[in-house]
Amino acid sequence: MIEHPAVHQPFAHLESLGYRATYVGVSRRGRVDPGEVAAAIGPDTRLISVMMANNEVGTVQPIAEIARIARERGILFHVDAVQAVGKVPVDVHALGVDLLTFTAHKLHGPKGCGALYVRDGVTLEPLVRGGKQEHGLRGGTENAAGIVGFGKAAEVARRDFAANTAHLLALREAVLQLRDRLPRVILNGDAEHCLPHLLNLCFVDIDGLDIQANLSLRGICISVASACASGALTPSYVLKAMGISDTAAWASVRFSLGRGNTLDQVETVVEQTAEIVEDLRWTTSPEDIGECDENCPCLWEPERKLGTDADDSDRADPVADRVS
Amino acid sequence: MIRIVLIQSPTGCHKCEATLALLEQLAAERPGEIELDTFDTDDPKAARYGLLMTPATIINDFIIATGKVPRRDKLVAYLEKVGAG
Repeated sequence: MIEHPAVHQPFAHLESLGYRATYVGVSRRGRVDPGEVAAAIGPDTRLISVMMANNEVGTVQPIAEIARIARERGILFHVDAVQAVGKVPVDVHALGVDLLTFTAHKLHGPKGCGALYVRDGVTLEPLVRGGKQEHGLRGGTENAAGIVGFGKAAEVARRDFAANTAHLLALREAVLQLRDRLPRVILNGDAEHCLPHLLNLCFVDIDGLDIQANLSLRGICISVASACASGALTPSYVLKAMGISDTAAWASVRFSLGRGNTLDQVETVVEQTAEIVEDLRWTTSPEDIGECDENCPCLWEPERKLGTDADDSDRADPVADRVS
Repeated sequence: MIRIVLIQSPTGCHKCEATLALLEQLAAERPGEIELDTFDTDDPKAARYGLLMTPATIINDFIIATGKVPRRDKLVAYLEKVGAG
């Protein structure tokens, strides 16, 4: 399960109230299998929720397929599209979703303002009672300035979508060159179904925190796990759900790119990262990071670039793929 | 001159002690080649490193390890790389 805490924690709360939740796993590339979702549906299933794109590895989910399954069974389908809106096409009608959440600050809009799409015909209980604002679902004076800013940000994101996407993909490709610059660098995620602005790389045998700290000293901000989880010194639950070992999760970092970044800047990031990783390989031993196990990418075939077309497997059980 | 900085926990930690002992030993073996500076995470000088874990071992402003005791053989090899005999 790779959902953001904004979704999985409310589900945990519902469980504490007596509701039953079933959590579906993901492949090694972080993709949800619609067949597994269908198999998890029970006679009392009322709601399915799947994030459209993951915030740590950027994998984009097969939302339309899952929506079709939910619709056929008459189950409400919610999509957390916070990471996706503005980065990949999101058409609520084409996708066939019932509920979809997104937020302004991921579109370069103001913080503190989000939106919930509700399909015509879906009725919801109010979240906050006591006012008619927001169709009676969330009483209280609206954040008018935030809403206006959100609208403008959405308008700009839509207007510049094609140019931004092409630009971000070029930047992402530049960061991916680290796989050619350095040995033992593995993409965590899905090379085909991915966000254009985000990628997660595992630098085998190197502590991601040391990469992050050195880049920070040079004025470059990246993150280990998600920014939301920064400060939590546990391996990324997203990478763990993808079948990656603790050690490999510690060796992984996330690069997030913005439309304001230039190719020159990203090439500097690549140069600096390569230099730092080369130096850290002088000073770090695999055993400094943790115990290796059968899920470590260091045991996988080094030539294979996971998550690419050359990687024909899509399982979260890489044991069978490792070099013996 | 190679400058080594060790940033430690203000409340003390066994890894900090082990790292300090190792760095002092390496400095003693290379008289005049290494300048060793140590301070705690609550020292304002530590802020620029944005560390999450101690000890942090920094050689010529490059963070070589955080949250762990560097291995002696790796440290010796790196010191030779950056210029210490």
